[in-house]
Amino acid sequence: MYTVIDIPRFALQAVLRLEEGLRGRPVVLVDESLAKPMVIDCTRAAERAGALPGLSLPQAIARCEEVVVRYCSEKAEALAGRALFDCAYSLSPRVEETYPGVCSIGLVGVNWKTLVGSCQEIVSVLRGLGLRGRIGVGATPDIALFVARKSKGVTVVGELSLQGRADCPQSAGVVEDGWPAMVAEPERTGLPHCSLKEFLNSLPIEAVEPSEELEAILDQWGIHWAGAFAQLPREEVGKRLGAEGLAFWDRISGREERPLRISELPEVYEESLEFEYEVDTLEPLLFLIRRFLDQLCLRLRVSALVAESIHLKLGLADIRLEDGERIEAIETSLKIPDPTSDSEALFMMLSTRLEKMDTDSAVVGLCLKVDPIDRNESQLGLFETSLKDPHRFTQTLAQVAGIVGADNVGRPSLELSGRPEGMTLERLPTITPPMKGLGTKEQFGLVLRRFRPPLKAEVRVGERRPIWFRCSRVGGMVAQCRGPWAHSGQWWESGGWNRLEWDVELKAGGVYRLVKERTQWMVEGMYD
Amino acid sequence: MALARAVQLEPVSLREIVGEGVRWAAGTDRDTLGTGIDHFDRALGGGLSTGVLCEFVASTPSSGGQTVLLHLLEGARKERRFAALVDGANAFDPQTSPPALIEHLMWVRCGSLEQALRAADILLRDENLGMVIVDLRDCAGWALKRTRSTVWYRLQRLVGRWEGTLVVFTPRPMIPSAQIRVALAGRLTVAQCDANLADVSKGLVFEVLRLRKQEIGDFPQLIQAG
Repeated sequence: MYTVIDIPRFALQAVLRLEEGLRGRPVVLVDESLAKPMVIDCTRAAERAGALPGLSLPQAIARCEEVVVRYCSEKAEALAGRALFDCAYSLSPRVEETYPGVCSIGLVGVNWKTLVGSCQEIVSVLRGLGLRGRIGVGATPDIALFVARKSKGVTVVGELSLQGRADCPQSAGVVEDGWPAMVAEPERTGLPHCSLKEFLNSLPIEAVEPSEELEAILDQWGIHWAGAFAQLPREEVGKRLGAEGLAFWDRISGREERPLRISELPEVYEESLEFEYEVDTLEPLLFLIRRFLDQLCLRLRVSALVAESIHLKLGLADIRLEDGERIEAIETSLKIPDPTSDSEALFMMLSTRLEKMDTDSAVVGLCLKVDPIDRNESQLGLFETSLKDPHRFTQTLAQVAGIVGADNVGRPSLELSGRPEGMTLERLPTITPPMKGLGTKEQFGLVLRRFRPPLKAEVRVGERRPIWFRCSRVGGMVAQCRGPWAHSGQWWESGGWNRLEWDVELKAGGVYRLVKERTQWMVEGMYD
Repeated sequence: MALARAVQLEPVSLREIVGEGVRWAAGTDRDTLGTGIDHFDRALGGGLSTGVLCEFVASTPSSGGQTVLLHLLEGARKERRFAALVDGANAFDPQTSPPALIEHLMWVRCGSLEQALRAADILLRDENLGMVIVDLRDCAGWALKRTRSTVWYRLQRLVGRWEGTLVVFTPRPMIPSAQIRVALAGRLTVAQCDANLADVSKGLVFEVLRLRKQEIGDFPQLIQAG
């Protein structure tokens, strides 16, 4: 058993799905690779206005002034093809990219009871990705393709038992956008259905795509329907039409079961597109990002993965120089606190981040990459602390990062070296273990309130200890002091430190940390 | 008129006359967050209530503000709440803080008062956080003076709808909408460098300048003023 997903008018749909504003408008698709650019497809609005396929571009514009012209785009088709492949892969890993806009799926090991439901889901997912598709199920890839292409009316095609398979249902069907689904037991549902023979009887012979010569012979014989040809004895067809006729007969009758050329799911979760025009507002970008995220999340889900981080790269129209470096694109990355494959949550985080970004140049390219990790679900401990809504928190984090900068938000993590100011900011974990370490009862020493950067100080020393100091913020006579405390480390490499520290109390009040590095005195902070 | 006469003649009997059907401001059913400093908690009636704006005024150097801040973090940690520290002057030092108290802490290092207030405004809308501490000490004096009171009222309204605690450290009394205002008046000495933080906190000197509980609607009700 095979399923075929077919996207009719694939080239046109591939272009239309990338622009939100084209919905309902007269759009013609022009192939500019031809010597004389010609309309090769159009929307229904353009059709009603008379801008039909086959016309030259000036003719189409003359018939409809409001017509929107779009050119065939290999990149858009590649994007749509990947979306189609991802959808197909959610059904079974045995997927063949048959033609642009057509994927054949081997249904080995698929649960028949849930097949139709899955097909309906795929149609709705495709619609969410901006593609209107139809699905056919049949005994061979070719039969399934014919069923899929039979766009109206037919719901069920049967007699698949000719393969002698006990596990196959006795019927197959079409799941088409807007149509009710076929089920394995059509009698119970009351949906219109027919046998394979009836289906072939209603299938024009041209739909099976015979060669011109063969079509002419069949026309002379008075055979116009696939069913009529399938009723001819195979041996007699072979005698009169040769190998080509036999292959054609096998194809129609479901005897030919060609092996699928299985394609692999891409391991890189990345989508990119270079625009044909410059984008200078956020809305079109967000529309495309949403499309990409939907697609990437679908790919993650079929691989049972979740997104750990997102990287966004926006190509700029105006390349500028900054510190002698060419800036061709702006990039941003987003760590997901609670890895997910929910495109809605990821989109909200990314859109929040984008609202805080600013650029002087228009955008001409978009690249979205997702770092996947295995889904790791675990039971929360009884005394662990967890975020109520990690995705909401990420949005908050992105908003705050937009104000103070991404490098200035996070959980402080101390370096083991003990280097002064040796710390990094890392993302706050969604789950925090119960408090085990030392609290305030076990922490000795006063808490420092740092001056960043440390303030250069003028110090007077008496009896080998500071007796007076002054800096830009504070100064005065020292009442008491403790020290010096020698503090050094990593002296064997660059970035080392070697200094003396004093804790001093001023007569006017306030306890400060004085530091001497080489010959320079500094006030590092105030104990508070 | 009977009421007016009663008030004029015997104010104490006002509760008897209008007491039925009137909600009195005394008492609150809101959660409180203990700071771990006993005398401090006692003075505040058990700790800091959730949904209130609390102002700590540290006008003198080494008055113990940072020590109180760590105790607040410890209280939040014990209550299993995530906390955010909006550091207006980027002065927090994780190296002298117990590591266990910064595991649940989101530190926002700000470069100006404006950044700090905007960040606080955003954080107070997130239900994931159980405590937001805004440290405005060492922020530019002119910027603090120019902060409009409407900013503080907006923050206070946000806190009222939130299940957390907002604590603001300021160099002088400046938040008109603060329901709790505490002035830290102590003075740490070098001799305390060997003591543990719990002992240091016992020696903290403070004065409760204002103590209000939020009770009727969202309007703060005056309970006690010191």
